[in-house]
Amino acid sequence: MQSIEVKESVWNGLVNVRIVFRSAGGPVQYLARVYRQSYFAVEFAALVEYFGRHDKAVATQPVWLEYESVPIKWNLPVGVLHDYLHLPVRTTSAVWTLTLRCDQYPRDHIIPFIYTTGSGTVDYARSLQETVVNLLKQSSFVLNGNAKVIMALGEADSNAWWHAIVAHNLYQYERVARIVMPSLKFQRVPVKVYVCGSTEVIQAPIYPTSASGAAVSLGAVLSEVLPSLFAQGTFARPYIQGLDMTAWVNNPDCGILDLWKAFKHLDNFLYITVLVASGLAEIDSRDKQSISGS
Amino acid sequence: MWNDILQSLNERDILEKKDSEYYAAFAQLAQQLQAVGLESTSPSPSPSLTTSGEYNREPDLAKENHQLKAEITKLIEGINEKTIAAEKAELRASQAAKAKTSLEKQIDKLNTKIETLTAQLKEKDRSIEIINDEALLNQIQSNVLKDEIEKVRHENESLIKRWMAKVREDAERLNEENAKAG
Repeated sequence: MQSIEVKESVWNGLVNVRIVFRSAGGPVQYLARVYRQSYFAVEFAALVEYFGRHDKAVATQPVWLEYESVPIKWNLPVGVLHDYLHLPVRTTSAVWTLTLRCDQYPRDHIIPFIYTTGSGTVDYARSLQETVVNLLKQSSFVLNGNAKVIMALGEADSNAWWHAIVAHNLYQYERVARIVMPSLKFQRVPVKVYVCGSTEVIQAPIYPTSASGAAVSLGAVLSEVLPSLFAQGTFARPYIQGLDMTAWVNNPDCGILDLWKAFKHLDNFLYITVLVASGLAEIDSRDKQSISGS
Repeated sequence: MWNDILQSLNERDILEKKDSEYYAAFAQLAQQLQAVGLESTSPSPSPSLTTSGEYNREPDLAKENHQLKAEITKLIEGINEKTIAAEKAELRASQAAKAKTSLEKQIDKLNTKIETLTAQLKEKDRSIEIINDEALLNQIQSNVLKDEIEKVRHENESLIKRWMAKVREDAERLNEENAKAG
């Protein structure tokens, strides 16, 4: 029963984001509650509608978000971006402030939006849908050795799945997910590892069980993909869905497949964010203060 | 394990959902502002007339659209809650079905055991009957033997009496002859 409650908590995970747009008349703010298991590009239509009243350019040019002058990759889940960018510097207020921009789109850093709607505005949803479908194909390939299930998915189910992702509709999402993942016996587990402060993304095929048949632990995975940080002691902490997973790194009851089932994102990837040792103590004390203060 | 993870998730949510009520209130206000903005952009009191003479229902439709979006969001939240509740119920049903299957297996095992024990009991009853019959037979034989022993004892006593009488007669006769000779 606890595993369903974990799933519910993961599905309902939200982060509060303050979005600032610097218009000609001064900065304008927008407060958004964004699901961890969602994408910023889903919110762009609402942001454009809101900020478009202050600057017409917002409605006609592709927008993007920045954090500390770093363009935010809209193709990554919000929770992953939060853990990767905000967690290392999170203050007790827990407010994540981003800047919306619409000038000189940083094509070298983030995927451009290439589609427009019939009325000439940027079609954020179509680009995101295309990206998420590609990610699903990738994860399906890792899980099953091929992407046939995704490719064979009917248009109605495909659209339903997409609308479920946008609307955060668990029932619809699960309904199609059951078609895409008919069984839970997988060849490999799709995992992506991000190290805070580094632009490198580690994506390795992770086998859920070892040659002896034992479940592969998170610690074993991290020692393999990041030996300099995890093989010879604890110099870093892995975070999944905003949780410090240090306590479960070598837990024999907590295999990588269990973690994937509990914490996978909508694209079926398990995202692990690694925070290196410096600054961990500060995060601990800040978080404790915030929890006890609330 | 899941209990600890759930606890950590709750702590995460306390931190990350802090001040959420203000964010929710802002979202509502932004929607209302948007609706008001649309109404104010209308050149005449709604519904306005377009150049073609038709009513310009765009602001009304946009307002309705916003309201419907808000309703859909609420409905989806409700569906998500129901989905989780359904999953919990499914899990409970699956656990109950497993327990039922396990109990049925146990019942089958116990029934088999009862059958075996009943068969053993019948066998033992039969053995007891045989033993009882044998005991009865032995008792009869014993009684017969007792009677025979009694009979033999009587015969023996009678023979001893007769023998003693004969010995006495012989002794008396011998005494008489000795007395005559002396």
